[in-house]
Amino acid sequence: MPVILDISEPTAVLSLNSPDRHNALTSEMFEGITKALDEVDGRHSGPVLRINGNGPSFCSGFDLDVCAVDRPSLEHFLVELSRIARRLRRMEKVVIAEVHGRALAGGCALLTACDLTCVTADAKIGYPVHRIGVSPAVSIPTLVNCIGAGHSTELMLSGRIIDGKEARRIGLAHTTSDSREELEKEVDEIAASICRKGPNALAVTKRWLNQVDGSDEDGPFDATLAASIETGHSEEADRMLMAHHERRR
Amino acid sequence: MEQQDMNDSSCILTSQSDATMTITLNRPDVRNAMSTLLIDELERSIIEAGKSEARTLVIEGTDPCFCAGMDLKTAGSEPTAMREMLHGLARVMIAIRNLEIPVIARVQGAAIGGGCGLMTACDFAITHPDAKLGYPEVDHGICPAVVTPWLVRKIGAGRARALLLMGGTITGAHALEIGLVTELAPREQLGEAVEALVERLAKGGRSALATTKRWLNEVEGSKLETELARGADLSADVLEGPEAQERLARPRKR
Repeated sequence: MPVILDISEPTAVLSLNSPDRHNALTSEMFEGITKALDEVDGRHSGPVLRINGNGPSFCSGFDLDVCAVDRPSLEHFLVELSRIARRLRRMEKVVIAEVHGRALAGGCALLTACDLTCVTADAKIGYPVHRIGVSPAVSIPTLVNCIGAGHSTELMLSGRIIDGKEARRIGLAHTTSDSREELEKEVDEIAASICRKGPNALAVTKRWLNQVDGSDEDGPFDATLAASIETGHSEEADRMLMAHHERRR
Repeated sequence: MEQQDMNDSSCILTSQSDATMTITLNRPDVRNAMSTLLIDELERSIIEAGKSEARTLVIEGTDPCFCAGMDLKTAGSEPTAMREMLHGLARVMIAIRNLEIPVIARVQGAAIGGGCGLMTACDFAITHPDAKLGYPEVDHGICPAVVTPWLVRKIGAGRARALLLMGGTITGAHALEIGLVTELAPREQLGEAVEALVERLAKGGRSALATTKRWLNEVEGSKLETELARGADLSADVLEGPEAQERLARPRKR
């Protein structure tokens, strides 16, 4: 099962679960996330959703081997990523990303859509995707929302991978922990603390934040998604994705 | 040199020394919590400062702290008074923004909820590392909607989101890291730190500073005033609801 969901407690836990692939995003993974979010919306009454990854990483982004071999899948993944980012941002619960190991490209996009991000100090975070001819534009609305235009430009254009400490310094993460165990404890505490707050106040506050900061407007999401899709269809992307795939074989 | 206009019954004191106007929140027995009267006087004093010769405005609170927030006692008994107070706070924030001279918050002890909102609206905020700051509204079932529009613009949407949804309070040191305050000094040296900033600001051209502030406001967007008013109504709506009323009726820890 690519996604494991636990809704038995006031904090729902959604765990990405293809540890061998660093929880790379595939059709099955997107489907699993969507089903899990349906379940959370329909059957979970607590105020918090926590998203983490089983195995060595949070999420290493799109499964590029799939994208190289089955070309239409890149567009499909981009559409799904954009849809899930909007959904996380607009769902009533407070969404916490619990991030260790890699959170790259699509994986990084997921964490920017969450309300709170807790990371290990040695997490690897960033958008190293231009080298495969793909544009991370799809993640711009939530990234710029998190860290502002200056840091976003640097991070996206350089493709630089930063660690958890730097992520916290620039506002991409809100807490850092020294180990995965400590990260788990930190998120336990934050989630428990949020569960003690007024659920109506939390929901109204999140909705209002979305109005004030533009998260509830589809325009920027649609435009950046279209840009990433267009780039993904280019001859350059064909060539670079295939070269990446060949190198890995 | 120092002129004081001290009406003993007043919850706002104002004084002017050289080119600095100082407004002091003065309800120390309730940690300078904001009442309707305090907010009205504060708004009036800020507008007065704009008509004076002052080059800077300092906003401070009589010890023990800067401001503990809205006077929630009013909220329990008279929700409509709270709505007026929230709109008053929105107007105070707009008055600070429209003031052509720089505004400095001198923050000792604590700035909580609406008090933190007041601090955030100032152009500069100087505090000490262990000060208690933040927006614990959601802890009490309240929505910090009226402070949200400004906070989002000031520290960025992501950090504002984390801060408001986590509730509770943070330290002055953490506040500096996320851009909520502009400077730290040891508590007993806050006065000197404010003085040094006032001197630096006094070196700038008055109209150059005014133009710059006006343009910074412009860039931050024209929607702010409408958003502040809508935020005040939203905060009041939530405050009048059952969740907030039940939580506010709980015995409070000090």
